[in-house]
Amino acid sequence: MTVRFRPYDPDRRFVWPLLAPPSDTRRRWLALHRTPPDWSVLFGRALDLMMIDARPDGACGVIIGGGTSRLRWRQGRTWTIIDLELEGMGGAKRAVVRTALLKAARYAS
Amino acid sequence: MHTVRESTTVAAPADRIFRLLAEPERAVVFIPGLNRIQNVSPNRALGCSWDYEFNWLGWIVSGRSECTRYEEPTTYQFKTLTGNPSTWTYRCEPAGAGTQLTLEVEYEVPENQLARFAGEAVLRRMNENTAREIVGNLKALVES
Repeated sequence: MTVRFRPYDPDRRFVWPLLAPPSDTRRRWLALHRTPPDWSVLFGRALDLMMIDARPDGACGVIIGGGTSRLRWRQGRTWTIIDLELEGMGGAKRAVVRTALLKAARYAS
Repeated sequence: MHTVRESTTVAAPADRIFRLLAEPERAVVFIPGLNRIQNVSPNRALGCSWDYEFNWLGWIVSGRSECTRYEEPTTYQFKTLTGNPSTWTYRCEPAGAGTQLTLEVEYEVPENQLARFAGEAVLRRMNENTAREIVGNLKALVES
């Protein structure tokens, strides 16, 4: 184990929550990046790690858990706005899924 | 060695919980502060090893871990291989219609940069909070 201070992580994407969420089930994030990742693969992998079913919803979306929840995104060359809607699960699970997806958006390669 | 222990009852079968625990890559979804798991060895049970990286406000803790007990679906244990020794043991025991999930972490207080900023009591509290959050996250993922 090594401990070091690294205030800037060159492999991390900058992803921030945008505005006040309209409800506990919805979030909007802004991601800044040099090259847009394949969000479909990235989020699909994160959901698979949580043992949650997911399938693509067109080119810019993922349907989560049988259709009650979804991710949608629209992107430019250096930015992506991601909308997350989580329905049909308890508040505790919603918080874990939300945190894991945000972590994946920031750190997953 | 210091030990923290956290336990909860989960309304799910042990094998479902064990599936979450026993693949190192899944740990990023339920362990707070753990951002990366990389270079996982091909053998996926006893002896499997991987690189991990925690990040707390820019402080990076990284190293390599190895699975040291793999008894499906009851016990999963890994140890940190480099630097400060720690042993993480998950136990899934039958409890009525569900499972008693216990996480026990044995660790040594590091005599390095981290210890200069966080004394033994602070580290203990941090580890207790982290263990509580981990079992809570696992419960949330498999129950609802």
